[in-house]
Formats: sequence, C-alpha cells, structure tokens
Amino acid sequence: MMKNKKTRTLLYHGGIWALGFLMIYPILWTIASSLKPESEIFRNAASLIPTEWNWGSYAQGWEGFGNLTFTTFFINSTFVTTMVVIGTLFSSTLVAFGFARVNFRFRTPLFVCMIVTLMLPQQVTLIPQYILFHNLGWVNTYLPLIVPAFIGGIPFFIFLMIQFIRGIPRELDEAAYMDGASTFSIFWRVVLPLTTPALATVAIFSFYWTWDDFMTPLVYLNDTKLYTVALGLQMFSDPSSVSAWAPMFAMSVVSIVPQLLVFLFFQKYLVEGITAGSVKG
Amino acid sequence: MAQEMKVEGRVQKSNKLRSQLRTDLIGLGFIAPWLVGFLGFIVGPMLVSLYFSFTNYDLLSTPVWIGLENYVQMFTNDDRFWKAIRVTFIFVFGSVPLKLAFALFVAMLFNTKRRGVGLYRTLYYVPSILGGSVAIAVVWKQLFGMNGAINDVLGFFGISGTDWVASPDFALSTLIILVVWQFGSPMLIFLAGLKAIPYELYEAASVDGANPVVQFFKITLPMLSPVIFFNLVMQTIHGFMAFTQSFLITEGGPMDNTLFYAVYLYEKAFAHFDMGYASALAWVLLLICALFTAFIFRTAKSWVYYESEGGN
Amino acid sequence: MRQKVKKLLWVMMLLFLVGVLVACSSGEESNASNEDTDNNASDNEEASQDSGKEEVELRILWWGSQDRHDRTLEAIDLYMEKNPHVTISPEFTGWDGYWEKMATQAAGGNLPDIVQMDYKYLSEYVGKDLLANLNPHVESGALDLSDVEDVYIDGGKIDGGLYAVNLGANSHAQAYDPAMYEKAGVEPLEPGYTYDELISKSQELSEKLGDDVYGIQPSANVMGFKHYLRLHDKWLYNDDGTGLGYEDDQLLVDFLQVIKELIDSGAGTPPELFKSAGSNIEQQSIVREQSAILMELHSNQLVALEQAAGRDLELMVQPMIEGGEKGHYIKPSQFFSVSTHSEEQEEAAKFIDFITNDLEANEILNAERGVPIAGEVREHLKSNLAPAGLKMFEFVELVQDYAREIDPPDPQGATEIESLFENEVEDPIYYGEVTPEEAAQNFREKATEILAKNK
Repeated sequence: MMKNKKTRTLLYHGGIWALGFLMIYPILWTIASSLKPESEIFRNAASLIPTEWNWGSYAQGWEGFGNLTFTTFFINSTFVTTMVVIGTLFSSTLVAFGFARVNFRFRTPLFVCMIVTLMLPQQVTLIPQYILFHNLGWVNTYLPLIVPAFIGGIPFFIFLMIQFIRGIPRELDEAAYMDGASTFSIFWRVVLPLTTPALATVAIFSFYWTWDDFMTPLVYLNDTKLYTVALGLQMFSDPSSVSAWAPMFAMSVVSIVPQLLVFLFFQKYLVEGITAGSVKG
Repeated sequence: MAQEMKVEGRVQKSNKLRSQLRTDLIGLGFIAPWLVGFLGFIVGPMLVSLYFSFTNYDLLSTPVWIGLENYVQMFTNDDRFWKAIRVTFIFVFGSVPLKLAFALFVAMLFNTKRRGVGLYRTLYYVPSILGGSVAIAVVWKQLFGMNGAINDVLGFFGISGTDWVASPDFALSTLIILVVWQFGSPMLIFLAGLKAIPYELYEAASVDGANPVVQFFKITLPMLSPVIFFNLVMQTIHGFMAFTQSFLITEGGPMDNTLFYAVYLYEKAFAHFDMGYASALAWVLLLICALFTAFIFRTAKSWVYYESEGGN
Repeated sequence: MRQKVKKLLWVMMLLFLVGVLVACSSGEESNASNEDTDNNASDNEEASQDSGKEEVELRILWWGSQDRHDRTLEAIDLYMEKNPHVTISPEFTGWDGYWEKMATQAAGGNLPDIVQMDYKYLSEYVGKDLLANLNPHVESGALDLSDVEDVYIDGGKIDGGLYAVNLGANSHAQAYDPAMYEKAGVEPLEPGYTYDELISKSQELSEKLGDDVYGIQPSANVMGFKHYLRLHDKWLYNDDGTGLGYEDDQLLVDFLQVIKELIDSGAGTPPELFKSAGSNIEQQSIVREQSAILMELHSNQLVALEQAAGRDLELMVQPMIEGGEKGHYIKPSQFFSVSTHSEEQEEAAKFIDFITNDLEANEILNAERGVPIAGEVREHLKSNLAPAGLKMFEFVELVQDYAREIDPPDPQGATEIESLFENEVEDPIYYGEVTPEEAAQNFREKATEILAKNK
C-alpha cells in the first residue's frame, strides 16, 4: 500500500516533468539563444547549449537605444501595468456584481451589448478610437492605455467575474440582507472575499496582457521616454536590415521575469481559495 | 372589500415600482464604470466602423459612400474571403475543444496539495506567457522547422519529418497544436473554478461510496459548468478572432492555407489600404461570432448549473 | 416609463455617433486651426526676439533595429548641437507595427514632420497628399542635392516632384558562399551570365556538394520576375498603373520554368527548407550551409546574412538574357520624407540635407541604411568601412554597369498585387500545385481586376 502510493507519486512527478520540459522548451531555447554569439543563433539553432557563452547580450540589450535604457522601459511598464491591474480589478468586480446580483431592468440587453463588443476585431476600431483620443488630447500620454481598464474596457474580465459570482450561493447574500446589510456591503463583505481565486486570475491575466501588448502603446505613445518593455523588445528587430537578435532574446528573457514573479505571487491565492471557497456552501 | 383590494393593489404596485426603480439605480450604479466606457469609448468607434463598412475608405482620404458594394463583393467575388472562412472554421473547431479538454485535464492534475504544485503550475503556464512577441515567432518556427526539435524527437522514433510550418498540408494543424499548447489561460480559470467547489461535496460523496469517476461527473462537471461555459464562449470568440499565430509564424501561407480571418482583415486594412472592405469583413465576423455565441448561450440553460440559482 | 428610458438610451447612442463622426471629419479642421495659432505664436516670437532664429521643433519617425537607433540618435544630437534653435524629438520603432502607426497618425492628421518611407508605400502616401513636394526646397538650396547623381534621386520622384530623399542606395542581388564553391571545385559565375548558366552551375554544385546540400535556394518571388521583365524591356505595371505592363504571358511562364527546373532537377533546395524562413534573412538555407547560392536579397542585407552565418559571403548580380536589356536598377533602401502635416517643412528639409551631405553625420551613421547618395560622403566613408560594408559599396558600384533607370514607383494596389503573386504564383509553383501556364493566366486575370480600380 505504502509502496503503491510512492510509485504513484513518482509517476505523477515524473510525468509532469516530462511534459513540463515540452512546456518550458521555448523559454530554454530563448535563454540559450540569448547566450549564443549572433553567428550561432541560427546556424546552431537546435542546440540548447552555446559553444561559447556570450553574456554580453544582456548588457548590450539593457543599454537600449541612445540614452534610452531598459530601466526606463521597465519603470514605464511597471507603472502602466500596475494601474491597469488596479483598474481592471476595480471595474470588473463592481460591474460583474451589478450584472450577476442586481435585478435591474435592461440587464439582459446591456449584457448582450457587452458581449458583442468582444466580437469586433480591434483592427477596425483602431482608427476611430485614435481619432477620438487624439481629439481628447490623450495621444502621447498613458491615458489611452490606463483609462479603459477603469471603465471596464476589457469585458472578458467582467464576464469572468460574473460567472464566478453566479457560482456563489445566494443564501449568503440573503442572510446578510436580513441582517440589514446594504447592497454595497453585501458586495464588499460577502461576495468579494469569496471570489479570491477569480480575482487572482484577473490580476494575473491583466498583468500579462498589458505587459505583453505592444500595439496600443505603439499607436498612442510618440515620445520614446514613455515606451514600454514590449515596445523596447520590438525595436531590436528589422527584417529589412540587421536585427539585433541576441540582445532581443536577452531582453525577452528579462521581460518574462516580472511576469513569472507576478504569477508565482498570485497563484498562492488560487491555493488559499480552498479555505475561502469552503465557507459553508 | 373589492374596493379595499384595489387600493391595496395600487399601493403594492407603486411600492413595487419604487423598489424596482431603486434596484435599477443600484444596478446602474454598479455597472456605471462599464456603461461610461461603453458609451464614451466603445459605441462610437464601433458605429463608425459600421459606417466605414459601407464606404470606400483607404485610410488616408475621406470615405466615400458605396452602399452594400463591399458586402456584395465579399460574398460573390472574393475567393480569399471564403478561404479565410474555411481556414478559420477548421481552426476554431479543431483547437477549441482540444484546448479546453487539455486545460481541464492539467487543471485537475494541479488541483492538489502536493508539494511543488505551485512550481508546476508556473512551468505549465510559461508557454502562455510567451505570447506573441517577435522573439517567440522565431522560437516556434525553429521548433517546428525542418531542423527543429520536433523533428529531432520524431527522428528518434524513426519518423522523418518535414517543415511543419511551411507545409501546405500541415501548417494549419501546426498552428492548432500551438494554440492548444498555450492552454494556460483556460487552465487557470478552471483551476480557480475547481478551487471554488466546496470540499464538503466530495467528502459527502466519498462517504456515500462514489468513486472518483462518478465524483467527476456528478460533482466536478456540474459545479464547474459556469466556468466551462465561460471558457467555451471566450475561446470560441478568441478562436474566430485569432491573429498572432498566423500573422507572426506563417504569414497566412503557404498558399493561404493558414489565412485566418483576422489576418485577411488586417491585410486588407493595413497592407492594401482598404479599410472600408476590412470593416465590412469585421462586421461579418461579428455576426458569425454572435451566431455561435447565441447558440452556446441558448444551450447553456440545459447544462450550466448555477449554485446561486440552483435552489429555484 | 420603460419606453422612455429605452428612447433615452437610443438618443444617447445616436448623440455619441454624431459626436464621433463630427470629431472625425473635423480632424483636419482642428489641425488647420492649430496651424493658425502656431503661426500667431511664431509671429509673436519673431517680434520679441529679432536676434537669433526662431525656435523650431521637429518630430521624426523611423523604423530600424538597435544599431540604426543608436546611430540616428547620435546624428540627431549632432544636428541639434550645430543648430541650437532646433529641437528634434525622435520617435522610433521596429519594423512591426510601423505602418499601422503611420496610418493611424495619418488618419488623425498627426504625422511627424519627417518620416522614414519605403519604396513600396511611396505612391500610396503621395497619392493621398500626405508627403510634401521637396522641389521648392531643392531650388532654395535648403536641400542641396548637387553632389548626388540622378540614379540615386530618381527613385523618390513621382511625376517630376521629389517626395522622398533616398537614405541609401541598394540593389537587388544574389549572395553566394565562395568557400562552398571551392569545396565543390566549381568556378563561381561571372557577372553577365544567363539563366541557363545559373541552372547548370547550380546543378553542378548540387551534385558535388553531396546529400542534403543544394546549389541554390530558388526564388519565384515578384522581385525576380520584375527583373526578368526588365531584361525584356518590360515592367510589371503599365504607365498609368491601370493594368499589367506586359502582354505576353509566355514571359511569366518562361521565368517560372526556370524556377521549376531548379527545384525539379534537385539543383535547388526544396521549399520545405526555406519557405518557413519567410522574410527573415537570418533563417535562409545558405546560413546553415544547405545551399551555396541565395537567389534573392537586397545588397544591404549582406551584413545581416554574414553576421548570422558567421562567415564570408559574396554578392553577385542577377542573370542576363542574350541580347536583352539591362535588368538592374539602383533601389532606394529607404527614404526620409517630409509630411504635409508638418508646419516646418523648410526646417525638415534642412535636416534631410544634413543627413545627406554632412560628413561628420555620415561617419556616425556609417552607411547603415545603405550606400550614401552624395559622392563626397561615399568617398569619405569608403576608407574606413568594415569588410561587409565595403562589399556592399563595391557591389552597388558594380551594379551600375548592369543597371538602367528605375521604373516609376508601384501604383496604388501594388501591395495587393504582391500578395496575389505570392499566393497564386510563387507558392503553388514551389509546391508543384499548378503549371506555369495556369499560374500566369490566373495571375493576369486577377491582377487586371485589381489594377482596373485605378482607372
């Protein structure tokens, strides 16, 4: 019996590591390429071990462009992303609670409107939106990047929260309502604490999407001092002439670190959800 | 007596009205952030793009009204439009079920308190973090290329590979594998969903002698159904709008065999300067998405179980 | 009640629509009014400070990679040092997304003063009146092109107007690996060779280099076909851009036959070995020593190619046909243009003049954008160039013997023709899905339809 359990554990971990290697292969490849000399990246592409360790790419990449280093990009990205995460958490929880728990009129048509906005490709709203922001004088500021998060610009998160809130037993609200709690305090004290795993998910996604997005900052930011990491990465590459591949891979690796840290931090709350979720169903 | 009832009814009615108004206000208050954004920043550009779809608009000069011409052209005289539809449908129907099944499987695997699970979750999320940068496009091409790691592994088993990305027969399947691989986001949502299932349910079932398979079908799936529903809707929409994989890796080729709808639309808008036509394409895509989503919502009543509404 | 709220919602939506539409159409107006106020402001400034020049601010946008960004930023600093009244705010990106950024800014009436242009997009932007005619500034001397030969300027001209100044001369070329020739014991081709010689040479290389190594990485792309047409004194488009410029489909058939023969005979690498590389120069098969010749590239890409391959490679001109015309032309690698949204067009032209003629600036830029167009600059740089750069210089000089004047820039709709060519001609030929005859006929049908829109 004991032995059986041990083999099962071994099998579990062994299987996960085997599959896991496939999962992290791309990142291993990127790290390996960032350490190869330029002349080896594509000639010796299949190998994960450089013949010659070239740490210089990290320094060369970080130096960036002219006076503009990745320090600037990281500060900018951190600021923008933090604001977007806060904004998304703020708007998605409030709006989702409204849709999931409050029985107001026009709820369904408005919900449909929200879902429909998900279905129009960004490419065709890009230009009208640019003109709108341009006329508001928001171009070349962070406002077009941050403000949409606060006003529920990504319905994905609202919909996600709605689904989670609908999964929470209504008896809890009703009990609180009997005790004379206001709708807002039901939201704040009863529902919100029970959605911790969902909140962690929203935080992880909105962080990653914002961190990774280059189209929005590219279109709305002109001053290079405002550029974000994703833009910085893209500035190494020019297929019509010489691309700086090794520094680009190096900076790609560095830019993944904050994402991993954020993930590691928030995924703890996925675990803690166990206790929160088990509050008497 | 009758008089009394009438009066009472009226009072009730006006009370009801008042309380409904109160509820309306509360509801609107909660959704206000979104409503402001929607009316201020979303509706306008959306309707403008609808207007563009009836015009000849080259991005740089003033749009010229041409009525339904773009739509007529699309349905009667555009092979690439139909090709893109075909490719996109294969992509959606191939990738969405696979991705969801795989994501659920991995999420179940990681929904334990074993040691190291946090690290594993992170490892398995890595492909999804890598997203769509230029660097990653190179990695994928490399991986599935003639001299790539996939062929090395296949060679180990004595199978001789090809360049999967460049092969007219396999390119689309390769992209499907690739998005299934990036299963991180539905996995995470499943995980959060699994965590929200009260543990007592399983305990009670174990006491009743239900084996894990029965537990999965009787507890896990129904309790998870709101989240499955969410993932299904979102992945379907995302599938129809998929862009990056094809754009960065195969550039729609070879021979348009990976011409995703969104890639075609992009090409029309920004490479061919035909924003009017691109807008028309976009609205047709919206209709297609809406049809499928509406269909999923319709069926949801029969298989999605909400704890909050379960009592009724 | 319900009705009323519903109505209200509709009215609000409509109002927003109208608001946005007005905002769209007034984009230009508001720009115009900006101009007014700016003029007033500068009038005031002029009045207040007669001594010294008025302060000028210029925005400049380019795409590139790390090396180009560093060099261009340094050159800009030098310019600001020499012209203290000018402040230049640089905006730069990679290649990806550059044209979206351009298009959105153009639509918003917010293009920078100076933009980097590509030959492919030139006529689209000029046709939409977004680029300024620089002739007046050439005449006034702000933009001095006296040291530049016509072959280097003509690429930026449309209907006699100069809309773009070439930043570096370039040419369509082949690359080959001399070491692999040596290994095979085969003599390299000499400029002036024919397509038949190319085929037989490739076959020879293929045979002698052993398994899985091929003579040539073939290319049936539109660039090669354009060259083939030029050899026959034809061009892909007719003069007013309303149709194809060649009448006989046999030309395309013959060209495709060459590629087909290369692939079928085993002289050329099979498409699986090069197709996924796409436009990435670093992933071409010559880098991995899988082929000895790369049939298509631009001469300035040799630097990237050598860097990725880690060994010496050489450039070679494209084939000729007996009794044919000269096929090559000097291609502008990219341009600087002044946008019509700019309020300081004269100052912008002066900056372009600086980039074109200033020796110190070009020492910094070091021909990274291609061979400089001003004679003196070219001579000055030649002495201290890296080997790859020197090869590029010498090649562009060599090519002049095989070149004649450039054809007019591609008409509007050319980008669509190019993707048509790729999808209906190039790819199906690689994979043997169509015969050259079918491809040629199909291409003509669809291309004619697209170009007819220009009528």
